[in-house]
Amino acid sequence: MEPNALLTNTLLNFAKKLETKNIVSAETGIKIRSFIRRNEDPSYWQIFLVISALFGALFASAGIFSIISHNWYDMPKHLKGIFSVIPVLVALYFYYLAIFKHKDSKTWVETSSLFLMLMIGASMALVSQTYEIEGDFLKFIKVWLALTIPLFYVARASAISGFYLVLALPLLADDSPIRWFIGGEAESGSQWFWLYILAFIPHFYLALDKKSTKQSIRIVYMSYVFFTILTIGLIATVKSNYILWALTAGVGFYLFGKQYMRDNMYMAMRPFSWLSQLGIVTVLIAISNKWSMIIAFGSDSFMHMDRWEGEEWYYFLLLLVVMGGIYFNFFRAKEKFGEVNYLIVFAPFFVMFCMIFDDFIDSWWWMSLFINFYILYIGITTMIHGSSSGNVVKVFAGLLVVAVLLGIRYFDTDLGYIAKGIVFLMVGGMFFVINLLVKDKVEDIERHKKLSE
Amino acid sequence: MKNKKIFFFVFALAIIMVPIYVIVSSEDILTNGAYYKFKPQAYDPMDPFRGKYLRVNYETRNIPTLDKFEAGDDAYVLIGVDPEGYAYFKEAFKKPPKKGDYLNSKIDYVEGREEFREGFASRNSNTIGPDDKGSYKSIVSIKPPANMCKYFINEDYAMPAERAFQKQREHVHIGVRIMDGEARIVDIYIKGKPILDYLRGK
Repeated sequence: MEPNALLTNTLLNFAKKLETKNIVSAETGIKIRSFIRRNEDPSYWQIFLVISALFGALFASAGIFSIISHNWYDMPKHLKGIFSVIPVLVALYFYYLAIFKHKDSKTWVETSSLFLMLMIGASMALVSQTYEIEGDFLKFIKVWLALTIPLFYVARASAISGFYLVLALPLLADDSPIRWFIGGEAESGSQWFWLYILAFIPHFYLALDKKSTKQSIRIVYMSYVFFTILTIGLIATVKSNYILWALTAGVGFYLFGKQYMRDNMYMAMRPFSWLSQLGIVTVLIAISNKWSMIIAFGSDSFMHMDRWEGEEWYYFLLLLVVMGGIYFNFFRAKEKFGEVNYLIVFAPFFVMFCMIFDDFIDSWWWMSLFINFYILYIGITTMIHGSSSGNVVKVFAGLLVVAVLLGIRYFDTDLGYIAKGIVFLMVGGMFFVINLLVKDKVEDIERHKKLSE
Repeated sequence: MKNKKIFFFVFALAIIMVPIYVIVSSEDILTNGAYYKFKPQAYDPMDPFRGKYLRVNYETRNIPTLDKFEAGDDAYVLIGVDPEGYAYFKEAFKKPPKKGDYLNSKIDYVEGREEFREGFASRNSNTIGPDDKGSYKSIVSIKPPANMCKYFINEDYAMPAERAFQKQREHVHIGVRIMDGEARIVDIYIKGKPILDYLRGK
């Protein structure tokens, strides 16, 4: 056994002993062992190799695009036409080498896939330049993406997913304000965007380690891109019940993250979890004052469906189907999600309750009180949970939720100055109490540290 | 492995067939399409993927029609030739006309009969007789037909081309070949010479 491997084994055994003797909790034991393995793990160097090669492919492709743009005028059109296929032929050759000669090399597979994807675009651009084909940008994107889809499934390349999903975004243009930025003709709604998203989802699902609650950097990368693009897609597509859609989508992402990524070591490696919680709390804060409530509980609420037309009904029924799917999956096997924050999971039901309740009372004040307490409760429980599990990021996140909520309320609460002053003095005092409690904990940790030294 | 190879070659073929199809169809139009001269206007923008081009604009307003159109509808525009030999958009149809060359386009907006009488009479009175004018239902404006509006040009010649365009506006025409509703630019001509030849002083 090599000296490094021997050292790793010794450290891993030591961590195991710490856990069995209850010096550290099982959760901390897992984290210690992950940390030891990470420092030994060559996969980080492999990631570097893949990323540096991807940059190579990216800049080489940019160079080819630039050379194409010069427009080589001294050749006859038919010759230029034939030359325009060369970039894609070269890229196909590299791709062939990758999948048949270097199929075990992630660097080869990812880089040649990206190069081929970009060269497909380059060849199409070159042909259209040669024959002065102005072309419809959205049609160009559709053909490009359609030819890219097999790359996900032939060699299971994932680095291209970022380019693929970002390129799919303009297809929302038919249906949203994005059209103002990229131009193009209103044609057929956003169904093309969703079709290309559907073509990508099986690749993402197949790449997941379904038996594990820890996922690779590849899944983390795709998760960030997927979350971002899907969120933009929903914002551009959904036409009614915005608040419930935002919360439901957030819960879906949250539970998905909990099911498959909850044991990833760092928060940044659990994108669905932290982004969805951030999104849900932001939406709740956004509807927590009088004016935003008028919109959220007004025409957007299902309690005012008498004002709806066909489109609102369609998105409401679709929302119910999505909600049904998410909660059925949750209640069917709750244990597979691990420990979840029920305040986050049931946020859509809480808002639905508020919408119903709002219809029976005249004063907006009660609703505001409910929602503000709900958010405050999320913040405080997050702090408490973070404190008990020794997770300082969680404590900080909870503190931030409370501070942001109270900060906003300071400016928009319609109270007399004296009353507001007294309330906020009490709130300030509460923060000092929290500070004292955490200070005791920090001193306790330092005392233990000194004793152990 | 064998299946993977077959899949790879099918995939490779699909990728290659897209540009090949465009090349073959474009060559077909450039070889067999009817040739027309259009009067243009131009300026010099840039495409991030394909380099410099001259944007070519055409007169797309005041086109008479017997059909009922809404903005955004597909339209087939018959090509006419004026006494000076320049092509223009003669009439818009809902279905491809049986006689004459036409281009596929979309309706930009529809104007009323009154505007038709005033606007159309002043521009096209030499091409359609007074009796014809009375029989049209309305006039329309069309979106510029695809593949006639961008002329990709070598980056060294883009600016001189634009200047030449402005100076020699009266002597510029666009050579376009048209077949089955599709168009391809053959070249831009200044004083009868292809633009690059003109700029090189040939």
